[in-house]
Amino acid sequence: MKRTIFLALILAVSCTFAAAQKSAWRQATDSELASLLPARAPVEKEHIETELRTASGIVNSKGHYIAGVVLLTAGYSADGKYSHYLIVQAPIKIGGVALKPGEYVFGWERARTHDALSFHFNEAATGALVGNCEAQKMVGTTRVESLRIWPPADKSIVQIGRFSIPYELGEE
Amino acid sequence: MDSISPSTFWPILAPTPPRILAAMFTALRATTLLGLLAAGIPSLLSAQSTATVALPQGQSSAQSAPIASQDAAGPHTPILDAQHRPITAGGFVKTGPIVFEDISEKAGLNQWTHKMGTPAKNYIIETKGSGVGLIDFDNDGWLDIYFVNGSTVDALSGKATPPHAALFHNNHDGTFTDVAEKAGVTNDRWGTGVAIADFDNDGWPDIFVSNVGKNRLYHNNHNGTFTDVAEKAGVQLGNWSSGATWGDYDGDGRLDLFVAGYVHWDWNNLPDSKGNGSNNAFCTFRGESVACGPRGLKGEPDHLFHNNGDGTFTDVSEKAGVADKPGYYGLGAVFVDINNDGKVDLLVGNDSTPNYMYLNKGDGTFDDVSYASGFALNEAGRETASMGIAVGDYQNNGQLAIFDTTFSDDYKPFYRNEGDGNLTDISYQLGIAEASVPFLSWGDAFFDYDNDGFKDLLMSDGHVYPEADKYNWGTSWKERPMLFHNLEGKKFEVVPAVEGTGLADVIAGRGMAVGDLFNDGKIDAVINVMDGHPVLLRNVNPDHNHWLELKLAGGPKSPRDAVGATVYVTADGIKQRGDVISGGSYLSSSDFRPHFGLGASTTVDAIEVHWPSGGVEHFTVPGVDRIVTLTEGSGK
Repeated sequence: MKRTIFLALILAVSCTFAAAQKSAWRQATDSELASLLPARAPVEKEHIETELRTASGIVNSKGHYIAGVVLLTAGYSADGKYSHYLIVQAPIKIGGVALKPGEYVFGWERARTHDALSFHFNEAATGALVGNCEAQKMVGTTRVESLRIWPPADKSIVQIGRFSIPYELGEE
Repeated sequence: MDSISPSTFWPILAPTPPRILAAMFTALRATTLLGLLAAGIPSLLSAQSTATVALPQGQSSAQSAPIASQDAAGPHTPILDAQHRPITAGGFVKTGPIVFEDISEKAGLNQWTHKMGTPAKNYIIETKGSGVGLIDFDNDGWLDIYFVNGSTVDALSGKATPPHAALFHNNHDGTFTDVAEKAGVTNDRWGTGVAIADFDNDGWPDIFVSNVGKNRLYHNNHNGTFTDVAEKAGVQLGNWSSGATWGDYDGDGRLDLFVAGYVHWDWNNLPDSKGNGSNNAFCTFRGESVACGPRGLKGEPDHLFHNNGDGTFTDVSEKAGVADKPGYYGLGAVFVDINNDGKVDLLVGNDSTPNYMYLNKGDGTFDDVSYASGFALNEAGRETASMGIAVGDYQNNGQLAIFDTTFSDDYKPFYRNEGDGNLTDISYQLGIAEASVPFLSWGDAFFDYDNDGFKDLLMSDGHVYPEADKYNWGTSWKERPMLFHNLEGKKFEVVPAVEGTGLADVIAGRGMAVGDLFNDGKIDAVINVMDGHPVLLRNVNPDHNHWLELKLAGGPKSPRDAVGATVYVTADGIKQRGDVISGGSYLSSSDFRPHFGLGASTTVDAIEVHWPSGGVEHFTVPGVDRIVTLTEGSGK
């Protein structure tokens, strides 16, 4: 009996913690993103123009952001290249790829089955590969997005177009 | 020119080059092979094997050419044919079904030449080309052709005779005569687009011409001549107008006019690669200096003009919610009922910015559902360089799909309509995407070229950068048109370009319109060619399928030319949809007469017309293989 109560308490505390963690994050506003994200993102030895109207991100109660923006590669499809710039100020796993606080770029290639995009995450400064993951097509007809990092209270996903990658927030 | 470091040139190679390179090769070979097999082009198989990867070339300095550097890093490896030509200008087969014969010269169209700027194309304004409109201006039952002219700086400044538009009268014998001067429709301005419609419901089609500068509205005088009434009508505007479309958005029986705006052009501050008038980052492509824009340039807003019924129009763009406040770079535009509620909606293809889909609320205003519908971006969330818009019911399920032509190095999105205007980009699933990547495409249209009962897809192609012929980009200044055959609404396959036929025409294609120019039930295509003679592709497909064409005449509560009407024709258990549309494609206007291929069927079971007035009528026809006029109020 004691054991059951103890487990229930643990579960309740965990749930409360998780809920608190989720509620600590909210969607960042346009003005917050505009002041956070650069007009020209430092990528390796370049400074690549960004399209600020595509910016999206979340921010927590500590003022830490996870935010991204489309890079203007002008190749239109950007297939296989860096398509987005990402600022991470709190640890996060996107599609299982662990990202420590830092600046990253990511890009994608179309999977051969066409129903997924294969993403690669790289360090923005060096181009070093951090990891790969897959974005799956979202079920149902959804709003198309250049990039949307949904707040965890809604759904813990990063949406690109009509594809999504789940994310998990780490502990700070 | 800015240059790029090798590592950035192919950034994803940096961590583990051999593995990723191999993976990319594998993916490329697989996708290319699949695409080519789907295309059924044997010679391309050898092209596939000769495809070369554009390995990064070391270049000096490393600053600020991000656009080009990223672009060159992509896996869109140049595909060359056996003669080492880019696939956009080659890949022909020696034998195969002949769909189109190029009869331009025989038809007399070579007597006119389009001209726009200088061959160097230093400025974006010299690169966009012009549209073409099909119009039976003399009501003799045969389609005539209006080609919009370009212009030159010398012509604008009075130092040279301005290039003029052409109005080719159909002589009913396969030839055409340019009567533009006599008709008073030479334009003589820097022309871009055209939209045909009978805006004053007098039974005679009129011509709207969009220009860089003041637009024209040529009113048909019923005697083979026209009068420009744009100033009195209040539709002149004055900067860079592009795609135009007519539609009765408020259901008052009079056609209203939408005119997309592209770039706000300043002749006194020309954007060049030295950084004048533009951000230099937007003046390069694949590391090479090219004409600047449109990114980095100020956008020109869009305009919706309400037809007051007295020869004047009122600009209602703001009130209606279609004013393009962000200043996106508008090109293709079309009024069409995309959600099947009986009211015309509005689609605008924007270059390098999100597209617009506006749903008509029925109260004189529109809902912007661009993102919610999926039309704003492609499936992967990228803004596309949209040029032309084609709409058509490719599945025969009553829903209009949308096809969007875009830049080279990008696939051309094909949006299936799931109903209520909800779209899904299925270009890859349909077999269109991969084959379309090397092409820079403009005019586009759904039509049933082989009368098998399923609408096929044609697009005209040609690059904006003459530099495409100088570098190994896998594309070319002049390109062949592409025809996709619809396999019963399930897939599309590329129709091979047989040497010596229209599909093997390598041209700087821009605006394109389609229609039955010879009243033989086979849909032809006309293309306005940048700095060249226009092209007339006569449909000579060797099929013996049956067909039906309907010329609609609206009643007192509908536009007289029935623009905005939807027709359903049922034959042999298949119910097809056709729409009367003015505008669309790229800056062009096609045949108003809905055309239906009937396959082997020799009878039509039902015809249902949804008039712009809201009325629905049923008609019968005495047989097939004919053009039948249906007048509102005479059906059941």
